[in-house]
Amino acid sequence: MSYQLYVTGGHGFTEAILPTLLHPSNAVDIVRDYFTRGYQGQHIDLPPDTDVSQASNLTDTQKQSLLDGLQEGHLVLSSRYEPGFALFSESRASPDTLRNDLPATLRQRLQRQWPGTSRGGGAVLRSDSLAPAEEPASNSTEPLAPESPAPGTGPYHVTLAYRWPDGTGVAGLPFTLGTDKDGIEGTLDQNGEARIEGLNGRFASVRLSSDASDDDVGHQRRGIQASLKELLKHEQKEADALAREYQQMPWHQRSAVSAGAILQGVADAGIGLLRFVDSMADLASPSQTLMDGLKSAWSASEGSSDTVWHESFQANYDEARHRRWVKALGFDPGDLSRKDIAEAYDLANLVMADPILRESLNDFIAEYASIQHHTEVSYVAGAVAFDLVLIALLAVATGGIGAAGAAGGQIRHTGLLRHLGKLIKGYGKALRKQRLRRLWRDTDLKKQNHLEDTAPKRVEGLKLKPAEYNTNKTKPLRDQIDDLSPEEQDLVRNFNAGFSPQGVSKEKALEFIFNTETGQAQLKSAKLGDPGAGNATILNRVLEQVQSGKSVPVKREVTRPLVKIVPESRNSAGYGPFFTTPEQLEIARNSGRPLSDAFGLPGGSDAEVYRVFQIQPKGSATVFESTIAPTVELNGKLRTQGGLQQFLVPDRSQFEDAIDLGLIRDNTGE
Amino acid sequence: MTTLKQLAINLEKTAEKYASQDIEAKKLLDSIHNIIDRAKNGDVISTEEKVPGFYWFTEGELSQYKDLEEAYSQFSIFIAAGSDEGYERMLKSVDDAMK
Repeated sequence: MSYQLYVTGGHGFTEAILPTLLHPSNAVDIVRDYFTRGYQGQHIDLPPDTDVSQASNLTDTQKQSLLDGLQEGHLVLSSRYEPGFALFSESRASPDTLRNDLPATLRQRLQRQWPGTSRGGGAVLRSDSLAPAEEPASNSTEPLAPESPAPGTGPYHVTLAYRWPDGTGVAGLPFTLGTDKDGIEGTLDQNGEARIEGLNGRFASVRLSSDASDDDVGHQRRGIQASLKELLKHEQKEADALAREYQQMPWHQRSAVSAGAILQGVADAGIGLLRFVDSMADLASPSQTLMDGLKSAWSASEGSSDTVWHESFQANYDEARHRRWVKALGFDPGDLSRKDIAEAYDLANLVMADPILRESLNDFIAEYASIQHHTEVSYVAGAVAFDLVLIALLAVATGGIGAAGAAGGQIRHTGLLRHLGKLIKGYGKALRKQRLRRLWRDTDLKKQNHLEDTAPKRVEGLKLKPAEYNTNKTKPLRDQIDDLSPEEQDLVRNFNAGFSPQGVSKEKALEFIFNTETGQAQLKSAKLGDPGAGNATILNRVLEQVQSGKSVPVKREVTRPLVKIVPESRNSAGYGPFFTTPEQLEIARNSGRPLSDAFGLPGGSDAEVYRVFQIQPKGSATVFESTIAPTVELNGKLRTQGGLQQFLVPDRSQFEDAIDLGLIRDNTGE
Repeated sequence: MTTLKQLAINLEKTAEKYASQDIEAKKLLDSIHNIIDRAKNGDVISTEEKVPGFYWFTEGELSQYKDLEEAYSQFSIFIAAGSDEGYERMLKSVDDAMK
């Protein structure tokens, strides 16, 4: 059994313990037995507000004092987890149900200091020692008027100190201090200190950064995530509109145009939002110097306050240098102050230090690149965070619309960006408060009256690097094969040398096939396409199709033709299910990447010249779309990235026979 | 009860049947030689392991030999299923899907 002694009306004497208090006669027996016989499987904690700390070290006098205190009602014993209502005449803890046989002292104290009520809130007459407290003259059983101590006149005081790692004070930070008799709010002074005197309560809980709220951080974070999604939605909408414009052109016109205007339009639209990243890639030294400088200035001030960071940045980057840099980015220096840059970097660091937001941002980048077909560009997440924050803050600062200079025409989705900028600012503010939070709980002011701590360092500074391009210089597989040994060349050219798409796992693919409507539809479609094939053949075909994608396929109905490329030497489209759209083929051709890389072909199917076959649906046809997965071959010596969209055709009977559209030349990858 | 060894032997025999007359069948036979031997020896084969040569069925001409593709597929699906029970269950599920 486990027990706890309390001073009646003292520390920890709350309403919750009332049902667990034992009758004094029983309590005295238990405690005496404990003192006489030792633990015997029992444990008794002494009152927290006494000068003795361990029951095992008590002197005989102290033990007797405790027993006397229990007997008279200055002390009470609680049996943990056992609501026996032993002090009450019924199973209800109330001053009206107190038993008649309680010691007078206990009865009076309970009636006067009933916890959690206006009768006193447990706030008066607390014993600070094991000696019985002075009793009031009245023995009346009627509730007495509360005895509230005058604020600021108590015997206790406390000093607070909160400093940055460099020793400077965390100035102006709100705090609250609470005892069972006092409630105080204040702010730390310029030195990050405060002194509170005249406290009536002995046990104080102090909360620094008392206005911080987890809910606020979570709310702002969710807002940022939603805002990123919204941006993507708008990007997708614009890309779709441009793609529709492209698709409405006749096939022959599309071929002529594709190298230029329309797809370039999609690309330009994409670049607009993340213009900074691209611009930085072009501006080698000046911007990189500034980027490196940001990190250095941040590192130099990471143990200091935010003010020091801003001062350090301002000192290192004079106005003339700033203007040159901002101009080089295509913005009007009047729109983008040095303070904006410093603030954007600060906020970007906070965003990227948050694992949830970092993941959201990485997803945003991947999705963004996919919408714009920029699969050849790998953005550096930190740089994108900085860009987005910077541009969002700029949208806030300039009111979004009509920003002066070049920026006005370049910032798209201004409304969304302004919203994002406000959310990021709100997030930064809430997070800073949260990071500075510090709590001292129930400090005994009699023993400790100076509370001091060091605030955490600011978050790690981001290393900003411009976008990294793969520069479309992937060598065609045939050229890579030429560099292999004769044996390896033979393996690749004749045996597909372990060619394997790195897409959906077999387990996930089977789960998709057997447990989803789309999977079942794909299975049925495969069977319809080849009714004479055995079950294993049907299942294996669909399994391979699913595994060739980065993710499981989506069912589509198509009425327009699909195409596929085969090496020039083959004069048949074969019976395979792997097709794409003419638009995807054009995107691949315009990407500059070798087609085998874009479509994830094995080395043996790579060619300098391809034959294009087209199949036309007999009305509407059911197909399954997925993104082509990267592939490996020859134990990873040969790789393709894939990334274009494939349209799987399990049932070729829905299409007319393939027609030969002619030859196309592969990209050289240069 | 079906075993992986039986399916390996069946695939090997079926591929051999066409290997003399079809270069792709010959290449397939050469490609699967290793995994067939391991299956015949009772070695453990991971359910995630791929049986080489599927490309000749989809983009080549081997799908014209239905018995060869079925033997190849049975062997592949058994590996994916990992057991006789799993294999039978999967094939039955294909039937169920067609209903």
